[in-house]
Amino acid sequence: MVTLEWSCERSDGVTLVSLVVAADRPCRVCVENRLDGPVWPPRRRGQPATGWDGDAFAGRVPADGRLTVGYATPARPDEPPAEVVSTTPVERSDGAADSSAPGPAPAVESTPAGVVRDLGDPVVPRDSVPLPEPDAARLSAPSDDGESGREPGAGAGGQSVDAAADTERFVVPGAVRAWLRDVEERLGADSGRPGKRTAGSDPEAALGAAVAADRRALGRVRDRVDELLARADDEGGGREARPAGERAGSDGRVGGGGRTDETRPGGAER
Amino acid sequence: MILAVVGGKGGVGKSTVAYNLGAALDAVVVDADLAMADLPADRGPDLHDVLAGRADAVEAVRESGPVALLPCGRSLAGARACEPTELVAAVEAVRDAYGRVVVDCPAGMCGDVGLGLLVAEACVLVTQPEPSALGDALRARALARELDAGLAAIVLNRASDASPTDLVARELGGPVATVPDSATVAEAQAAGVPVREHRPTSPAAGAFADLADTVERACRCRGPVA
Repeated sequence: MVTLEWSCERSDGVTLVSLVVAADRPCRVCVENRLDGPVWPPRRRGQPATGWDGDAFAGRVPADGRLTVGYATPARPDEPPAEVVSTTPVERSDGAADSSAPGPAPAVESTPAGVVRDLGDPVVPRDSVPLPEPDAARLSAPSDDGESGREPGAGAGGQSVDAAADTERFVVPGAVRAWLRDVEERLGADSGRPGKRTAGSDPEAALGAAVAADRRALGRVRDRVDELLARADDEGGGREARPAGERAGSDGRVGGGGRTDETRPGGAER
Repeated sequence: MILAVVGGKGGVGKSTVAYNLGAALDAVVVDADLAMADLPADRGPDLHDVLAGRADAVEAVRESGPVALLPCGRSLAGARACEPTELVAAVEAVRDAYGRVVVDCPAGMCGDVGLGLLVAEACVLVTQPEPSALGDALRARALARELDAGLAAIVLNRASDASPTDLVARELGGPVATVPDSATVAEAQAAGVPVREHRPTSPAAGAFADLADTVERACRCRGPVA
C-alpha cells in the first residue's frame, strides 16, 4: 500500500511542491508531476539530483516507510500536484546494497564534527596569531583564572604571565579536538557493545574496524607527540638549567609555570 | 525557527539581509562570521567568547539596539580560541530563549558556513545579478541541500528591472525576492538601523517586509514535515 501526501506553497511566481510517499514495506516508486508547467528539480553540481528524469522522480521508500521528494515549478498549484505512477517491491537484501551505493549518500556528514571534517576548520591558522597577545589576556583573564590554576589578580606582572598561558590554550586546533571527541565516542560505543569479540552484524564489524584504526592512529600520534615533546623539553630544559638570574623575563614566561616564576627571586621582571 | 543567511560570495549583502530580516522577523541575529565579523559590536562578551566556553550564548545577546544581536569578536586571537562546532549548541540555546534566530553566515564554503546551515531549519540565499555571484550561490545552494536546510527564499540583491529573476528562480529552484539597488539600504546599514526604521516607506523597506513574509510562509509550510 503506497500513499502520497503533498503540500504546495506558492510565492513570487514559484510553486514549491513537497511530497511524502509512504509505504508499508520497502519498495521502488516513480512519482510524476501533474502540474501544468516544467519541473525544476533539485540539482547537485548543476545536474538534477539522483532519481530525477524530466518530470519524474524514481526512488526507494526505505524501511522506515517514508520517502520525501521536493521540487519547484512555475506552474500554479493544483490537486494533486503529482501522482505515483509505478510501484515495485524490493527485497531486503536489495536494500543493503542500496545503502552502500555512493549516489544519494550525502557528501557532508550532518554532525558538527562531520561538517568541520568535510568542509575544513574555519578557525584562523595558528601562524596568523602573534604569540604574546596582551589583548587576548585582557579579554579572557577574568574567567580563565580558575581553570588554569593560577593565582588570580597577580597585578601588572601577573597579566603578562596570563597572556602566555592563554596563547598556549589557543594552539590545540579545532580539527584535533573534533577528532579526539569522535574517537572517544567510538570507544564509548564499542565498550558498551555486548560480546564484542563475536562477529556480529555489519555495523558492529564496521565499528570494531573503526576502533582498531583509531588505536593505530592514536599510537602514531602519540609517537609523534612524544618526539615533539622531547624536543620541546630539550629547548625548555636548556633554559631551565641556566642560573635564574641570567634569564630574561620573556623567556621565563615561556619556559616555566607561573608559580615557579613567582617564587623565584630573580626570575621575573618584578 | 533558525534561519541561515548564506550566499557563497562575499559582498553580496548577506549581513544587510540578515540584519533587516532579523528586524522584520523579530529575531536575534547571530553574526557567525568568525574571522571577519561585520555587524556592530560593543564591549562585552561576544560569539568568540561563547565558542571558547568563556561566556553564555544567551547572556551575550545584546538587546540594546533596534535588532537583538549576538555579535562576533574581531580579534584573530579570539577567532583562534573558538571551538567552531560549539556554534550549533550556542545558536540552539539562543533559539530556546528567544524563539527566532537568523544566522548570518560567512562567505565561502568552509566549515563555519556548513555549521550555520547544519543548525538551521531553512536558509535564505543571497546573491546579486552577476555571473560570479550566481555561481557561488549555486554551490551554497547545493551545500544547503546536503545539510537539510530547505531554501526559504532567494534574495536577488541590488536588482533592477532588467535582472534575470526568472533565470535565477529556475537555476536555483526557489522563489526569488528582489531588493532594489538603493542608497537607502547603505545609509541605513551605515547608521546601524534596519531600513524600515530609517525609511519606512521606501521600496527597500517594502522588499524586506515581503521577504520576511515569504520566509514565514516557507517555514510554516515546512514545519510539520520536518
